[in-house]
Amino acid sequence: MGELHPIIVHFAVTLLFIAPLLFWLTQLRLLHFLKDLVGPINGLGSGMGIIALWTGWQLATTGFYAGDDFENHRFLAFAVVIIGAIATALLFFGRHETIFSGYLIKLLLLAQGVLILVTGNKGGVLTHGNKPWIKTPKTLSLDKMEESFTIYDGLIQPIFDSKCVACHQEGNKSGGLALVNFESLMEGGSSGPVIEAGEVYQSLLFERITLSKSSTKYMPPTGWPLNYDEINLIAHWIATGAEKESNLIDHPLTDVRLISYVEEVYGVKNGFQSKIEKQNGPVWTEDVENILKKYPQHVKRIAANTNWLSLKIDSLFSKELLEEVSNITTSIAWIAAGKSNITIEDFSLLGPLPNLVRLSLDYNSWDNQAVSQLVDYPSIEFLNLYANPVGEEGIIRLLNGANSMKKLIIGSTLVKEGEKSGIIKNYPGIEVI
Amino acid sequence: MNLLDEALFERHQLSTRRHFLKACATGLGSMAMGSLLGATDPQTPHFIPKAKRVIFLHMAGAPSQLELFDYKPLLKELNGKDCPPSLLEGKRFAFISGVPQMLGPQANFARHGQSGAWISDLLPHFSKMADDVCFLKAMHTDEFNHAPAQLLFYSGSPRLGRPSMGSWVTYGLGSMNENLPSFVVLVSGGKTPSAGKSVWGSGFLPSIYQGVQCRSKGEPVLFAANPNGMSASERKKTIEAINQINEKKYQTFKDPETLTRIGQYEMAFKMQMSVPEAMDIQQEPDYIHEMYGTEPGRASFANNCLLARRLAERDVRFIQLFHWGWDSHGASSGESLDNGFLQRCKEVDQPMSALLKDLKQRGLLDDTIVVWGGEFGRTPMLENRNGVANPFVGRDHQTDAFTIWMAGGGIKGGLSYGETDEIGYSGIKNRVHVHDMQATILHNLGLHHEELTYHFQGRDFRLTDTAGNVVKEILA
Repeated sequence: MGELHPIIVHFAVTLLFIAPLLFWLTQLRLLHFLKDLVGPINGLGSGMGIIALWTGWQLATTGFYAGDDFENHRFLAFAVVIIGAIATALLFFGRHETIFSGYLIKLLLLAQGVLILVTGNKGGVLTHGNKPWIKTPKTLSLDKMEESFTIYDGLIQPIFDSKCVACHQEGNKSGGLALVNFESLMEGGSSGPVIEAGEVYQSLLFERITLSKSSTKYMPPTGWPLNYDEINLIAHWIATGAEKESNLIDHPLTDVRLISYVEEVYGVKNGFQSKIEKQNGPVWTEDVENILKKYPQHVKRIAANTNWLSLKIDSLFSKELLEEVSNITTSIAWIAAGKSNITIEDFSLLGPLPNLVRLSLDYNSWDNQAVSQLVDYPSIEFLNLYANPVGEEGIIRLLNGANSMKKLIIGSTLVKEGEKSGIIKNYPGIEVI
Repeated sequence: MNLLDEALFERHQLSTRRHFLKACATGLGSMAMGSLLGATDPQTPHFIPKAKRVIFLHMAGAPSQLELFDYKPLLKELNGKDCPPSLLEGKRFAFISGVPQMLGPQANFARHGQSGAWISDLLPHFSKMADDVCFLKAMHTDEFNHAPAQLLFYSGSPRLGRPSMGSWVTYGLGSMNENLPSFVVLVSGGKTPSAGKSVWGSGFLPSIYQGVQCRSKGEPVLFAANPNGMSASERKKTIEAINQINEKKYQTFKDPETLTRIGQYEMAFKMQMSVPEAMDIQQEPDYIHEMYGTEPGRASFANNCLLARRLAERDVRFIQLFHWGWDSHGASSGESLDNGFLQRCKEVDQPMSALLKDLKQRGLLDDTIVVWGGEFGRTPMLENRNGVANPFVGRDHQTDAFTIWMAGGGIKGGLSYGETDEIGYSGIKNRVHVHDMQATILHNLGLHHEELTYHFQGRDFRLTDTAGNVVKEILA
């Protein structure tokens, strides 16, 4: 009967609010002819209130409601129903002429009107959240993903929070299991552990959420079941080792449906993302606009939906270009300087380039000394050194300091085949070609 | 709108200021000499691209997937048996009539690379590249004849008149090298593709976006070099004078194609210097020639592959190779699976593998999409033209299932995507239509295929027409 609570409670609330209002109006000699209706309306409201109380009680047994707001809602509801009943009794049987009875009725009805508002508000918070007029999508900011995003905290715990913790919390461990955080999940319940790392189908939790819905062991027994994508996310997390710290870069999703689900619902991208895909780039300024206009062949906007810029340096480049670009050094993300004969000295004219992620220096004369200075550019993800006179030493000095490097091209350099396989072995996170 | 209205409308369009500004593809500023063809291109990708350029290796005539990539052991068992009527009902073929016999694979297959991709022994070099490419094994198209199928493949429509993929891409992204055309076509195999030059035509887009065919033998571009007795400075003066006249012409008639003409004179002048340099494969060291198996002085696929790499290095946006001679019906020795086809495989195997390897070692494969394929596939049945078995072994055209591969530029390597039935007659899983392939290529270039449009004859046209889905599963 718990499902009927919302319907009945709104009826009761309306009546219990209208009765004091009407009483107040009749006291002001307005709508005086309706004064006899106050008693019946309040009586009906109180009656409905009692039914609402009972259906609410039924609803609470599902375990989906807990916490301070819930306790307050229940307490206030009792109070309202009791006050309403006393007020009704006084309205019918009390002698309004006596000062005591007259004041008591006014006081009770006033309290009833105020309390019904507070009670209703608490009930609303339980079902619609604190600020139902503001839609808060379940999204994580991409910056957050970069630093600390983990599959468990970012994708799995939110599922438990929305669909399981009502019954599986510290104070109320149904089946001895709490699902409030990673530790409580791994502790398991009365039947033992619920997660077997790497073994989706041996994991009790996975079994219980994928049973037939008519089974008494199916979870959750009431409320919204886990949807297909949530179940698959949990399966992905278990299959890839069920670690607290695992993330989507080391364990990317493979199912396209799941990838787009995570992207749309959580705002999280799958697999490796370049820095410039995670951020939109520095603010678009007049400086940027001017340089784009002045050097249309050399400086280009990478895409219409981002503020990142690409810079092309050819063999006819001028120092003036480099110096001017240094004014917008934070906006530059890609530099193509193949066959340009640029030196490290000229290159440093471009400024600190904190967001440079792609750099092509093929067919230039960069040696160990020059290449190792590239550690000063902290964001480089792709570096092309094809046909430069750089040896193993320079490459290793660079790789020891280049933390974001993902791919490095060292064909036709002084690095020998044997040295190259050594580098590939020692820097497993970097693709060396 | 009736015809007359349309004509009047067109004429007004030609003489309004707004249209003038819009029709100068690169804006009014480009009226200044020397920058029409790219320098000030305002075109920007819609979102961050994975690739900057495309190299398309088209095997004109449609190679048999059943001899190269789509291994069907069951077909071997069925070899020589009559095709059951259920496979023929309601089907249309180019030549098969009556009841053909099934034809087993005419090559031996093995799995290659860590990904275990099936590749036949006809492509020994290429099988070493298995982990770098993504096979689309359940491609399908709507057209079973060469010309319309090629048109569909490149222009999104089987009929003439639409811009080709290379034109759309250069229209959408602009030029990266102001001294070379953005869209270059190289043809080998002795014949241009059946659909003719329309597969690199610009359709209703301004004609500066059409592909420029370069020859790999003799002068790369005919009539671009100065004739005897004409010095470069004299030529420059001539072109300046012609362009001045053309500009006057433009002032009078306001035809945007006049602007294209001015730009093309400029481009031709620059190409006198830049094209011979780019097309001179003699500059390459010996080991590169060995790697590609080039034959200097000939119009070969190997030479064209090497040229493709040189053009990619020079930031040509769209490089389109056609190699003719894959139409293995079995009607003649040259067009049969037991002769001509084997020859073609030999011609392309080493160069296309070398191209992939070379692009990869230079770091170019990261932002270059390489696509290999024909316009459709071939039947699991032996072709019996007019009901009589052909003199040589061959297969007929097939639209329902064929294999292409893609590599680089944001495409996942070492993946076989899609599956055909036990005899390779139809795709049964993860089918990819030609429009989907086009949408995916545009996607990796940073373009929404639904937003890259051109207004013509009252509606916004696009490459993928009214279809196409990006195949997200194959994106790296």
